[in-house]
Amino acid sequence: MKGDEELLDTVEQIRKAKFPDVPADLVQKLLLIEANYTENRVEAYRRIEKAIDAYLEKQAAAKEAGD
Amino acid sequence: MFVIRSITLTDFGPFKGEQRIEFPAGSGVSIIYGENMRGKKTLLNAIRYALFGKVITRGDRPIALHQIGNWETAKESGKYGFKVVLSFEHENAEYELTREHRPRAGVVTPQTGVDYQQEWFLKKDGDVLGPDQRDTEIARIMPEAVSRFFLFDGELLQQYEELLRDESDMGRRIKESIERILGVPVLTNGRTDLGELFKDAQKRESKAAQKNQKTQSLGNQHGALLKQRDGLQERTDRLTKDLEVLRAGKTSKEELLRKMEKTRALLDERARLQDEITQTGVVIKAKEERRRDLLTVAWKGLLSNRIRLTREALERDLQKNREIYERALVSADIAEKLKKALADGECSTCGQGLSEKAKERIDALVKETLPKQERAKLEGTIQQTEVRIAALKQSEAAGNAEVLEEVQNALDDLKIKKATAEGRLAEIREQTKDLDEAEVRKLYMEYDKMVTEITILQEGIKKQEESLKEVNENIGKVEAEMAKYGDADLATERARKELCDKLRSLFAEGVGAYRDRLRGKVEKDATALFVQLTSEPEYKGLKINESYGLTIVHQDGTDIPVRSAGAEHIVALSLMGALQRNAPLRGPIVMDSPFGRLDETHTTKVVQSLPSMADQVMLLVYESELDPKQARNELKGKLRKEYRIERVSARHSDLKPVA
Repeated sequence: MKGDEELLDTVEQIRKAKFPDVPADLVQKLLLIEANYTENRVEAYRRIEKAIDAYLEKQAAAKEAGD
Repeated sequence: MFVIRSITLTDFGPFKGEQRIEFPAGSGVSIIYGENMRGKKTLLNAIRYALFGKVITRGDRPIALHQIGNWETAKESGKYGFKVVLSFEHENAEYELTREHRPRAGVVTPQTGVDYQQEWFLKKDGDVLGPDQRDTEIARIMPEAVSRFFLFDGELLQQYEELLRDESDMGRRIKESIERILGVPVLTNGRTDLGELFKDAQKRESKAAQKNQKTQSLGNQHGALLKQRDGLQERTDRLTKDLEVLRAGKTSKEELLRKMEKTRALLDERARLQDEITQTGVVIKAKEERRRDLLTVAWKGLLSNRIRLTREALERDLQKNREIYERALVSADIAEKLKKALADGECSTCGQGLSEKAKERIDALVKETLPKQERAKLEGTIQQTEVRIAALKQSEAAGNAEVLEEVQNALDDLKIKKATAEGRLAEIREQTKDLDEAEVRKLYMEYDKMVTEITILQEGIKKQEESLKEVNENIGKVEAEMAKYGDADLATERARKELCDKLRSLFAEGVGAYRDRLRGKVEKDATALFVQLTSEPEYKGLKINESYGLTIVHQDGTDIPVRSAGAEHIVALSLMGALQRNAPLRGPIVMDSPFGRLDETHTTKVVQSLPSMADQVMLLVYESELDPKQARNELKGKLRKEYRIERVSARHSDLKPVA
């Protein structure tokens, strides 16, 4: 297993065991952002915030559609 | 994976004019041979310059860039400055990185750094990238923080031993670099970002609560607690930052102190010698007094035999006189009784009458008894003899030549000891005559002060963290109260907060778990490499600590606490290889003089292992460090290319491919 796969696998195992309601694809997306912007902390924060906003909006829209 | 294809240098250090080295496709090892002072380290620095705009010395200090340009070119053609073009591949894209240092417009003869300007640009698949994209790409492909694991100086490998020292700041910095290459910051940065987003979500929750009349009071309370927490957090962060500054200062002081270790040892030795000389002087004085006393009676030693004979004769006389005296005492007692019997005419014991014959015999006995005056005279003689014997005994002791000799020998030893100490002291005084001792003492005092301040700051941070914990608990209680109300806006913000909280906790747990997993893998891979590299069959492997420091383990299960420079080198190379295998980031290893501390057996083993340490390895070596024939034999098909740095003049070297 390569280094980056090792990291994803470690987090995924914890997610499955302790935070199953947190979506795996969101976690992977956040990890990818942090990996790509390790040297640019401001950009990483901005993109993480945006990814969470997008997820919550999608959830709210889905809930509204369900109602 | 980052793979270097070519390096083109223009007037960079001794590499006059434009010179280029190419590295063929395919994994393997390229070797650049060069004797000392020809420019091996300059080549390593050329790569570093292209990527990070820096050139460093062996001691890890930056070199002023205006000193890098080729001296002969500047002198012959009046052309100043230098350039490096690095061509490389990364994730199926081709890059060309150009960095140039040239005089500013209008400057004809640049003198200092300010007379130069630096330009750099990056082409990706033929397109020039904008500055932001360029910076992001380079930071992603080869972050400077981890460059020590790709571009390294064999002479500095012993630094990795610092990882075994708990309190070493250098060890802490290396540990951070190791975690950086292994990708730990992906999780630690994520944890921080998500923590900030969580706090932001809490503030949004406060505001939402404040808008509703039912929850307004709770919202206000929540908001106040959040402010209190932010204040505490700010103070904690400030203290932590101060601590980092102090630690960095401590590190630089430690480096200075390391350099001053010899000086400090000399000063300590000087103080010790001064004490020793003073104390020895005191002992010498006491011994000399003792010798003087002995010498005043030493003449008696010449008569010692005579004195002894006289004493023995006197002792015999004394014995004889004592016997006479004791007998006389007994006789005197009996004579008194006999005199009474003669006067009474009967025995004083049984009362029987005395015959004439008995009276005559008793009378003769009484006459033989020593008179009282004679006894007193004998007693006086005995006493006089005793006094003389005692005096003679004293003379015999005082004249003891053995004691005198002993004292003299001790005195000689002490004088030699003192003279040796004085000689060494003179040497040290000579060595330290130009030394600013006040400066040395000041440095040590400053260092001690820093250590104290660090301890105080650590205590302060601990207290702040305790207060933070308490405030966070109170925030949790208020949030639990707010959660009882069914406001829609509040519920939306709560959902955001809860998601951020879970993500933050997930990343936080991930940090610990990933670190544990990495340590296990690094230990395993470093052990595999170490066993391959070491020539000591009794060494079973390596054991990793919290800071990624590696300890050699003997086959009997015990640790090897002290290791040689060569062993340290092998351990460091094993760590390098293990990090390469486990890092998400892959790139070339460029090693300068990696075999300097190794014997032939270890050199062979390291050469054999190089192709497994990284896909692309570049060695910068001198031929007596690694024989080209040996390298070809060991590497065979894995030897990609060989170059030689040839001397043209002291300031001019040429890069030539080896046929």
